[in-house]
Amino acid sequence: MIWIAVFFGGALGTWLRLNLVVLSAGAGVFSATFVVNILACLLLGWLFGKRENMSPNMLGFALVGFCGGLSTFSSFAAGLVSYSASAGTALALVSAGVEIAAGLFAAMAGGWLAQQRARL
Amino acid sequence: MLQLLFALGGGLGAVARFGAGHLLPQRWPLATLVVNVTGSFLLGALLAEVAAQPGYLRQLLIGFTGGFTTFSTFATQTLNLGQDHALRYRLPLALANVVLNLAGSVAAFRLGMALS
Repeated sequence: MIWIAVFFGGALGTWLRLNLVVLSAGAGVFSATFVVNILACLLLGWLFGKRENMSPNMLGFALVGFCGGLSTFSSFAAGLVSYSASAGTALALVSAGVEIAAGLFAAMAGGWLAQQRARL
Repeated sequence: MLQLLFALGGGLGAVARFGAGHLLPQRWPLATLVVNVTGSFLLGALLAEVAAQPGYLRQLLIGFTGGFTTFSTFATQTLNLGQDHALRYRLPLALANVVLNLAGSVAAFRLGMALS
């Protein structure tokens, strides 16, 4: 059952990202992929903070499936390789650092939000 | 039709990632590293085939790489690495995880492009 939940979460997340990325094609290195990755980090950080209140199937659907499918590392790597070819290795490294730092910060902010809601 | 294939590939990718999480050890976020590196290799191989027509299998596999690899789990695991320990232990662990995922995925993507 949990495998089915993971499947549908992953299908929905991946499909949503495809449509968000196509809608804003050509946004450069801080691309739609970057924005979607950051949103997924924020959401996953929040859900991870709430994981004790969730059923295993919901965890599979939302955390493993949806957030995992919504975010991507392969397109991130692809974007960095093409940015490195056009702008040079140094700028590509800086942008990789900024994007990963933003992802970590978003996941941290999501966890913090989950704690705030828990106190209310 | 292409949208459905992308969603189907993404769902299968997420299931494969979940399976990798069961097969590989839990202590270090090794499963996430492995799926990110192998998924990047696959995407590189798929994108290098410039002449390839937008076939159904290709669309399915591109969806698969998207659902298989993950940025959000990578970020959350990086934050929680060694969370029972002091910050001076957690920082190098987090940095190592970042460098391994980033360098591994970029190198694998390049290798995939070069090999196909």
